[in-house]
Amino acid sequence: MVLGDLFTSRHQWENVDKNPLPSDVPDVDEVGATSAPLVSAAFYIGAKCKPYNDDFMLCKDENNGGSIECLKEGRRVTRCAIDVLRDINKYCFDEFKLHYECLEQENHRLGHCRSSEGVLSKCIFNNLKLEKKIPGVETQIHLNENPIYQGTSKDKKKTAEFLRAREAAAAAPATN
Amino acid sequence: MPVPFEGLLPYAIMTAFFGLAGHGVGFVRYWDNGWKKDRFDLDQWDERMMNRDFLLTGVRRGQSSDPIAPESFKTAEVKLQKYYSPYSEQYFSFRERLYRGYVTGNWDFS
Repeated sequence: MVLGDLFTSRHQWENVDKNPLPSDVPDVDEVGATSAPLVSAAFYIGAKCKPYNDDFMLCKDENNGGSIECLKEGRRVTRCAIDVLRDINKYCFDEFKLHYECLEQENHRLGHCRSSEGVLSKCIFNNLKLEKKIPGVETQIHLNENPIYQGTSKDKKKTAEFLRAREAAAAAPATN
Repeated sequence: MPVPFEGLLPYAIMTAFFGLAGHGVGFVRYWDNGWKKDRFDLDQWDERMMNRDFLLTGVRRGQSSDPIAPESFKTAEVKLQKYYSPYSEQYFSFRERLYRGYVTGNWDFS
């Protein structure tokens, strides 16, 4: 591959930041969760991080969308989201996984994964005291007992299986 | 008079082969998505998030719930390179139609 060598392979490519931020700007980790877990956790992140998010948006409004002025607020938003994700992973890993895998199968449509969402929200409320609340609507759709989209049978089956396994795991030590 | 079964054989064969083709393509697509169903009706946000997922996991349609991204993610980027080919603007892959909502009728004509 002579041409390949000449045009592409001879370039050294290194994954480093050529123009790093000045040292007075503190380092912040990036959120590592991908799209489906983020969709799944979005309302809980919103519930926990509302003050930081509002602060960030206020800063953006006041500074004409300033990307330099709002770095501090942005770091707080990122850190808060990371905290929530870490907590969810710590206390509700399996429920979280159940829900975001369902979302991934169902084109990220929350209406098709209500069974697993119920399990996840229960776990998160019990452990983290966070509650999903959709702002600015009359009825909270996820609490509707008889919604138009009933969810997929696959999600219901997997959730039922999950709950059964959970019960069996809870009952096993008691019998021993 | 009942229809002799020989008369229905062509229909059986047609049904079988159409079914094989359809389910075969469906199976290949499901497999190609990493044993997941297709995404569809994607907007710019979704496509951006899918590219971000690719940078984080290294595979298409991969998901991870890690709270903190690896250090390399901070500077990772993918540059899309295009090369000239005739009719490249006219052609339209099925996956692209599905993504943009052509298949489900949610096509954005703007």
